[in-house]
Amino acid sequence: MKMRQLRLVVIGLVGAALSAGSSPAQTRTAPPPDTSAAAPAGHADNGKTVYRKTGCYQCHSEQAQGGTQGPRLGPNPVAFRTFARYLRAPTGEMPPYSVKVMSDQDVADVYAFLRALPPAPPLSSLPLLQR
Amino acid sequence: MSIERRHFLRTGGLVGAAALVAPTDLVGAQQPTLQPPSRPVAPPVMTMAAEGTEPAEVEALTTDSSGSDFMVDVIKSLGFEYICANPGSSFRGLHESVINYGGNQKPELLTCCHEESAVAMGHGYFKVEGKPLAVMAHGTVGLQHAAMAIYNAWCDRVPVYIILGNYGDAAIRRGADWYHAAQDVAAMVRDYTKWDDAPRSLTHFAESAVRAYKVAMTPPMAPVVLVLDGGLQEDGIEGRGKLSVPRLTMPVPPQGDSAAISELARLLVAAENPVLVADRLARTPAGMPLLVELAETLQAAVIDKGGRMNFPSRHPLNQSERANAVIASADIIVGLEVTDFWGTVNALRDQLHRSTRSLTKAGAKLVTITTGDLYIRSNYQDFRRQAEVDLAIAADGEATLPALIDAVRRLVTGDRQRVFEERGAKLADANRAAFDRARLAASYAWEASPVSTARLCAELWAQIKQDDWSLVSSYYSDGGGWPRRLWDFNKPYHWLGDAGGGGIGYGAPASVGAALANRRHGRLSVAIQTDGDLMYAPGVLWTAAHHRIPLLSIMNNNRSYHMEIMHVQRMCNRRNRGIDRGEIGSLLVDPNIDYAKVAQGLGVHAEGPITNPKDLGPAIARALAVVKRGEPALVDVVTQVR
Repeated sequence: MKMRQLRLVVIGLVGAALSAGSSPAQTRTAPPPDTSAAAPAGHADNGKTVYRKTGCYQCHSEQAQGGTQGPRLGPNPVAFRTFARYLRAPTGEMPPYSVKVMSDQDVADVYAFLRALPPAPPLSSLPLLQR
Repeated sequence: MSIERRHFLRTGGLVGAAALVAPTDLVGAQQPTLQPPSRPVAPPVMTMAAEGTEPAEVEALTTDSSGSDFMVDVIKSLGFEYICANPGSSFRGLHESVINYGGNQKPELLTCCHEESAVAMGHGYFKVEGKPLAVMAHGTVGLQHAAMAIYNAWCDRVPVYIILGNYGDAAIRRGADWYHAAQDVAAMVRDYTKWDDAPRSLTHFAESAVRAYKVAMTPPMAPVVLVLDGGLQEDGIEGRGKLSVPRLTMPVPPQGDSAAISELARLLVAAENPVLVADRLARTPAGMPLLVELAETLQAAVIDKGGRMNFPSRHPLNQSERANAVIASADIIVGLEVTDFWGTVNALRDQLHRSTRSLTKAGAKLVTITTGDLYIRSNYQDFRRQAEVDLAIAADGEATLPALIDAVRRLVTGDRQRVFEERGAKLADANRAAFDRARLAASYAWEASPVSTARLCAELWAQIKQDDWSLVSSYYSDGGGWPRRLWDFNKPYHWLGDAGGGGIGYGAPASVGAALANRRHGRLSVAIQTDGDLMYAPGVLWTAAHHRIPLLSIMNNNRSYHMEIMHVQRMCNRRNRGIDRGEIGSLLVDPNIDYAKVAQGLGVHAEGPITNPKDLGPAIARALAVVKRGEPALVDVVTQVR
């Protein structure tokens, strides 16, 4: 029997770098970040495949909504440069994604997938999540 | 006693044994001295001829009172409600005494399909009831099965009272008794039990049984082991003679030194941002109200690390969701029975080169109150990294809180009171914001299939919140995940903490044990049951069905040992070998496991697998109706990984 509680707690820096924002105002009303326009062309469909194949879902969940081990990534991801830089050289707990593991085009495709994710339904429309 | 037993064995027991096997020359050749030549030898008793043959001359074949009857008297005096066991011949004497002599009441014998389940049931039971279960097992193979669960209980500082059978006397062992016997039975778990003994007489047993209970229940609490010799259990006793049941007097848990408490109170009252961190603090129902009282007196931030139900989840001073932020701004941090205090005030980065950094600001005072400083063992490393602290109070946290509260109250002035109130208002705002962030985060992937774990927890909460509920599963071991973020935990039995030692397989049996304890109080027991955990020993569902233990189990079925996938992926990334094969060895697919069918086969109402979140609410409602009738039920929900 093994100890299985090796904690993969994603520290605040990771959250700050990758999450699209944590307040309702940011996620509900803010327009997509201007800097995202600088992202190279990407294919969201392939990005979805890469997101799954390269294990992003393991911490960030299958629709990138985040989980106990990783912050939400989309929709409305952080700027592409910030995203790509962190992916290659994370300063927190996330394992690094080298070019050998995820090509630049794959990174662009994953980013396109994150941008294309549907928004969450309005909180007011979900009775189970009311105070 | 031993003289009587040897006399019986010489003149009765072994003659009988010899008679059973008399036609076999081999046995007779091995033990020639056991058959007095002048004594008639009976043919095998399981033949027609045997029934018409004069039985061998023996002094005694039956007895009206046995050693294990007295053992039951002692066990009853300790107040055990239940005794869990997977049956085994090495404790057959005690087994029979429990069900016949003891009337199968207090303790009632619960049938378990695995010793690991029996011990983990005791673990979960204690966390609700505050007293231990007894467990019977073979001293060898049974203990080997039980070992992981004992280790969890040890790491979680939970008492489980373990009784092991053993035939210590080689001269009376039958075939199976040999490989079910050991010289030093408890040796294999001695590193992670608090005390053990192998009594040589019934008087010895009585004293050790009471001592074991006392030791197990004195903080820091932990499992104990009693090894009961087969002969001591089975031999007859004539009258009770000098045998008596010792009186149990429980020690008062140690309270912190008064000078140290005064100094801590001075530091807390003077602090601008005091933080109270609680982990295994609340060992009784009094623990949570005491922490609330201290926190409200100071208007201090509280981080509940979830080892026990320490602090209401929606209390305005609860800052568990922003722990690192409050740690970073704190000028004094008090760890109350914190398992890993070093890890609370430091971070260790799991990259190719592991690095650490302090999470506290310069000059922050660090204080601990813990029984962890009173008792430690060497081999297993559950004591965690040594933290550098300014004041270490070696004492029981809960027992120390009343004196600390009084000391703080004596020092609070009007000026400080105003500061406290301003601080409390800010913390309340931060608590509200954290709750709003949690609700928002739960809304993402709301309609996803597989079902999001947030949706699962929200659907379940909606249907239990009007009941007197108890979340009996550990869910994620790290703090409680979505339930702790979305639900209103405010009673001591709403949350029971985790396995302690990280041994997977704890969740299902501990949930059944906790549900057993909740049954007496009429509470609704709910488990969010992970799939990998259930597959270790699913037979515990049968135990729940057989003994009518009402428990609603909602599967968090992500079809994997997902934590391990994340670990392997970390290695894949680090070594630049690609991640596409990282799931090999950790998935539970092909075929997918049908947990509804597994549960149905074990006599439990079950449905699923549910993949559409819209189907979840009605399925939970149907299962709840079964549980409210007094039976277990399971809903298999295929979920997202986290």
